[in-house]
Amino acid sequence: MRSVLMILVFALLVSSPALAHRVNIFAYVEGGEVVVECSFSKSKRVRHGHIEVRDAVSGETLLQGTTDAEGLFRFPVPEQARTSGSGLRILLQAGEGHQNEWIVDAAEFLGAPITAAPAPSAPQSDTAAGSVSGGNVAASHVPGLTRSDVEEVVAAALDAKLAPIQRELREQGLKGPGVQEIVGGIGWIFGLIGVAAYFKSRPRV
Amino acid sequence: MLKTLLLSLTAIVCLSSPALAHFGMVIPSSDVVMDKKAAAVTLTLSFSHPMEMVGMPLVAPASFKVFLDGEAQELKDTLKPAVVMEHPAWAAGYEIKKPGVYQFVMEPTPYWEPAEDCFIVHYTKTIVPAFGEEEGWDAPLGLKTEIVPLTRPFGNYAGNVFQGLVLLDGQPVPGAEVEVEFYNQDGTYAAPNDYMITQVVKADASGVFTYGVPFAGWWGFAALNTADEKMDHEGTAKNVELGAVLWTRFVDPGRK
Repeated sequence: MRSVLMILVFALLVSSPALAHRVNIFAYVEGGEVVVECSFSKSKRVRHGHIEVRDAVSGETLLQGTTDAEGLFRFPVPEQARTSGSGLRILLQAGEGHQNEWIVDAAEFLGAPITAAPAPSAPQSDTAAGSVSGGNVAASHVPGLTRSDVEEVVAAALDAKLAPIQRELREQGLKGPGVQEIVGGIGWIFGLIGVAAYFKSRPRV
Repeated sequence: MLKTLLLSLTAIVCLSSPALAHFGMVIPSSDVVMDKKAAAVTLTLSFSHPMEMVGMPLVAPASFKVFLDGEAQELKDTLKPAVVMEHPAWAAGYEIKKPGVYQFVMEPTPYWEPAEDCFIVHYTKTIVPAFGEEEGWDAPLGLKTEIVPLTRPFGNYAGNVFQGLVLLDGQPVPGAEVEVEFYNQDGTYAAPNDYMITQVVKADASGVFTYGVPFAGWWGFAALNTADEKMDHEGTAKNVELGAVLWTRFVDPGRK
């Protein structure tokens, strides 16, 4: 009798829902910080899950950490990611067989304020969000906007807009030759051999 | 000569209207959102005979809301005129920002249907989960009438059985009649006969209906009831058909 009970209790403990085998990771940028949310479901968070943040292009590990009891992990946007303009690949390990990853596009954090700096003023955040159209009007109405302020705003906006292009260029640089290049190369070789063969076979006069 | 031609034409047009079922429709551009790049969802609202691809005009809905964790947000002001099946319809963009189960609900303005001598009001919903979250799909929203899914209303294979509970004023409706139609979006299928345009199932004694979905695509379930109150049409009180409509997509597995 007792053993039956034991088995029942054990069965209950083991039979957590099937959902538990899928772990979710989601990240967004808030202020100058990246917030990572890890959960099995809304009411079941990943406690003490291991987080690794990598450069999405080079794969270099930038930082590591652990989620709190709420399944959250926050970190300031790494300086390296800001300068390189590549995205962040965030990997979550939540125990055996439970892992997932999330990519934060550089466009999401370029232009985000540096955490130590004071909160950005309204027109600045407008511009950083990409709605440049209203930026000029707002700027002309804001008193005390110096030349360097404007430069900063424009630079941030440009960074944000150009980030995907920068990243693409970098990714292209890292990639080896594609199929097209290889086939093209072989074509060149055959072509040159052909030309050589032609000249060789021509009767010498 | 001309008169007979006109008469016969009229007769043909009148006779050949098959028994189509009306469906309020809310169809999202994506049934699930897994990627931030696909997080801008477009919702298309219409009033149609979805299997036959025959549209009806949809006037501006009384409301169009999104429910997330029991909180409703009105999206009516984001609706823009659109055309569905050659008739006026509406479309709205909605950017999903965080994980969750998003329930979109349209409450239309009552539609006067002379052929059935009644008004039609179809409370129509569809459910879009985002970024892996799936809690909350089984929550009733407290609508006048609604289908509360008993089968998770997303991530289903074609061929799955779908079950739902029909509620009217928050109470189960025993024996409720549920019409089922396929959204024949690309005109892929033809009904072999008029019975097969609309499938019909009835709820059991506890208000639960069951349907086996035969092939992949968007499927609409419309649980129909007649409201207690009547509505005025040019001086006479007319019946109001209350529809609880749910749209959900069934998908074929991928192949390796």
